[in-house]
Amino acid sequence: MTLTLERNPVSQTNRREYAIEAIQLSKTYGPVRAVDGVDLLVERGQVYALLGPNGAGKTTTINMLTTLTTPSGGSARIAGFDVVQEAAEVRRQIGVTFQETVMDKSLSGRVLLDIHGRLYKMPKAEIKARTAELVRLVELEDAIDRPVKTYSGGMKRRLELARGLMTSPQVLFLDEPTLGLDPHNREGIWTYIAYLKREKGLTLLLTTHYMDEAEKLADRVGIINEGKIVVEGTPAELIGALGADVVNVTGTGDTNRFLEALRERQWVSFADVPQEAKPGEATTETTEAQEQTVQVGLKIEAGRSLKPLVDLAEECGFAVADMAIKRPGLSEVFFKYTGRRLRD
Amino acid sequence: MATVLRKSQQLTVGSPKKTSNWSGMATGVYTLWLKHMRKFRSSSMELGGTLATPILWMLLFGVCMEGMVKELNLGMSYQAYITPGIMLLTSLTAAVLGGATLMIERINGVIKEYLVAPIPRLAVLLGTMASGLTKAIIQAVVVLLMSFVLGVTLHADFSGVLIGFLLVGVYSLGFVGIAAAVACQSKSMESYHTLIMLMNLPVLFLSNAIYPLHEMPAQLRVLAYINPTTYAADAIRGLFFGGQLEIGLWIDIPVLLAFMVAGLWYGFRSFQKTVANPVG
Repeated sequence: MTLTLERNPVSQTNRREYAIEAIQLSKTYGPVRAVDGVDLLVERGQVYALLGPNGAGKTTTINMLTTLTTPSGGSARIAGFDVVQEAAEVRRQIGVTFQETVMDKSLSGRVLLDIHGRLYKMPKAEIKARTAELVRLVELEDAIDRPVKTYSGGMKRRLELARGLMTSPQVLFLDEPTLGLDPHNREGIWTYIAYLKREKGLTLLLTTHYMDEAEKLADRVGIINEGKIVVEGTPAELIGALGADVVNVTGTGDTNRFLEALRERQWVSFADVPQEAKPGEATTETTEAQEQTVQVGLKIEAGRSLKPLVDLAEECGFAVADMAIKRPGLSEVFFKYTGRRLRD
Repeated sequence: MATVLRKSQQLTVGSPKKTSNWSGMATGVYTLWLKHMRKFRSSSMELGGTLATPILWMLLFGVCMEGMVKELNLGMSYQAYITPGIMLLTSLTAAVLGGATLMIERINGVIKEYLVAPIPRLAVLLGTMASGLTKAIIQAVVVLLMSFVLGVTLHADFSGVLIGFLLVGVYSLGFVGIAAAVACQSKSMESYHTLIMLMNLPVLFLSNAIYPLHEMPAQLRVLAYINPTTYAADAIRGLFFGGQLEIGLWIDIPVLLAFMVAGLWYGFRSFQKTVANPVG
């Protein structure tokens, strides 16, 4: 497959430049500060995920970056162009897919792509060639001439993605690209996004409230809450900042001795019997043959600590029946910085 | 600043041609017009739905009234007499539906595709207006052809017909503007449809579309004189069927042009106010 997504190959001198630069970007609606001083830097060819619950300011941020809404304060540049002063130029550089599917359902996919190409003044032959390429990419060959109302949710999303790519944008904005899709279709969209980044060096900004999506796709993640970016970094950095892994050790024996021994170790950050796992105060004191779960927070990677853990348990007379490693995800990161749980 | 400018230039190399505002406008208006016309063609509901009302008017009302109004001395058959009014009613409905297109696209978010495209925002309004006008003219022509089937004959030369249709266009554009203005502000489809219903019948009855002005009670006649339909029906009746004008082209045409300008201005102003803050 030879997709020519960049009509504007990034020259060597531009390599270090930012495709998206927002400085103290703000939007107020009356007394409501929907976006409150967002700083955002996305390097060329990177995938940046803006993560946050509904109403956090993700869509408003995208609307400002895509020139749909005028910022109340701050500034932003896309591919070097100011979103207010050079809005027309910005619009030529970007592709956008919106949160809700916005398409005329009575028209066929091919007509919609054609109209889109015409809006950007693409020559007819180019529209035709690109339609053929993109339809192949998003696997809509069979459906492209049918009215969009006959499409499933996933097919509509794929068509929107194709439409966003129609004009060979430098920067692609995807607002909740997999919202409401079943797992199969989500994986499909992820595959296309990964392909675009890997093969075409496209810069992508996506918003999501799915943790796994951000973790899987993004080079950098910004967590946005109440109009502010509360923390930013690579998924690994963000998760790493939480500390390393947690291991649940289930077994029978002298739980208290095991806990005391664990707490003396350098590589253990905490060790406890989780509240809900305690069958009752009485049984915690005894050393009956009843299974208990000990949760151990580690300062080192779980893989390297399993052996010492087992050895220690045996020394203390705690017979290990099962061990489970729990890696913290972006969910935990989000919870740590916003104090709120995301529905995942 | 200088480096920023240089960067911009490098980036545009090979990108879609840098276009002037006017050319972007032309592209936008034409593309949106094309899209709406394609939708119009693919939806038999819209065409059939708008034409059903005039067909009923002409078949039922026109045919039944024909025998009763002989003594009115209209100077033409009653069927011919009401044809201009029915044409105007049809194009009015088409114009209002054109406005509905703008509203549907605004409410369901389709308009965002246009707003992030490199076309001036005004092109969205003008494209919608252009398609609304086209639909209005097409349907007016269909109504006229239908009247021929019912035995109406034209008493006009080519320029008369041309000016007549231009006036249908002028009249429709005034309503396209009003419809667009309401479409920019309506919160829901329902409120918009209520408006259409409210507008349709008074526009027909409070005018000389189905009876002459001098037969109306004085109070109603005053209302008929504020209704642009009165002037359009008067002019078209004269231009198409050679009837005696009750008002006269020298008043009809300026009034209709003024109505068009006012309607378009209202639509434009309303669009400019709302487009800065699109829904969502």
